[in-house]
Amino acid sequence: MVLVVQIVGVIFAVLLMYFTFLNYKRNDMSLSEFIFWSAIWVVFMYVTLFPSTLSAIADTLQLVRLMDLFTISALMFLIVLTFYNYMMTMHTRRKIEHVVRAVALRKK
Amino acid sequence: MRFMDVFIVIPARNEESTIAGVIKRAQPFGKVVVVDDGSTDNTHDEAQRTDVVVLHHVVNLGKGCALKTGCDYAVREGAEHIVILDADAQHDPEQIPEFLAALNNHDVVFGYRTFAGDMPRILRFGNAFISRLTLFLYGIALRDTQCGYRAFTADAYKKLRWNATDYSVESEIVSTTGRKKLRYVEISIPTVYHNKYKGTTVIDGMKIVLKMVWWKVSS
Repeated sequence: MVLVVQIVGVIFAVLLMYFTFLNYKRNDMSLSEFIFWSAIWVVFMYVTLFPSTLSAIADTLQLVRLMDLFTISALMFLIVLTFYNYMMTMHTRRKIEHVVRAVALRKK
Repeated sequence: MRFMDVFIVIPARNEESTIAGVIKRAQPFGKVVVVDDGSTDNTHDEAQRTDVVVLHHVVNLGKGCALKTGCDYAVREGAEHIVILDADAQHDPEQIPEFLAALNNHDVVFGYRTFAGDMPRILRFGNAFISRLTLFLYGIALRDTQCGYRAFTADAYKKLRWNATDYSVESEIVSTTGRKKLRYVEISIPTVYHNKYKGTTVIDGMKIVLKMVWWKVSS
């Protein structure tokens, strides 16, 4: 029996696959990026529909419920993503600053 | 002191109504360098109409970046003394000689507002809090850590050269002055507020406090 939360999970994954595809078609993403993110959404969808495949991992980590494994994994993923985004933003900001200041000083 | 060694750096963003007047009043005291920080109004054109150097940031980077661009230019062109002031006519350029005279015996000169004017109460409180924090963290007793009217020697600038891109530049200059043990003095300037929606906001103030603590911890 498919639970409502699984349906929501699948819809979520399909939507994100659509946005990934859209970005790829708009040339905002390379082919490798498209494959990477699509694979993530496919795995997410599979795990949502067949959560028992993760039981072995949950048992190894001594987690009683699969939901705990999902929550902890999601949180870790979000923290990594936030850190990565922060670093990328700072990196881009520094590059923009360097270019804009160099252009301003070069003209004179 | 020869005014030809003096560079007056004015960072400006969307100050079309005041920039020409500020430039005209500052010109007698040194070479004026305006840094247009990605203005979306006619600030750049207004500044260009005068015969001063106008550096242009194609996008807005923040006051700290604009000041750094202007000061780097000044040092590159042989400046011995650098004065920085705001483009919104908050600071009276007639006081530049006072700042320059003080540089004879000091590395950095800080302007301080007397707060007798119409400074918003929340900003007055924020200033007082940051001043206390500055004394606690860096051992510098300044009456006004956020005033943008300042002067320093070119040698001092090389030590002060900041990383801050935004309004926290004022605090970074203060903290570096303390850490590098530069000689400093304060000069009283009148408090003038033209637009309460411009300049440092309460959010900026909170960011500045966090950054000051961070600089202390990471230094």
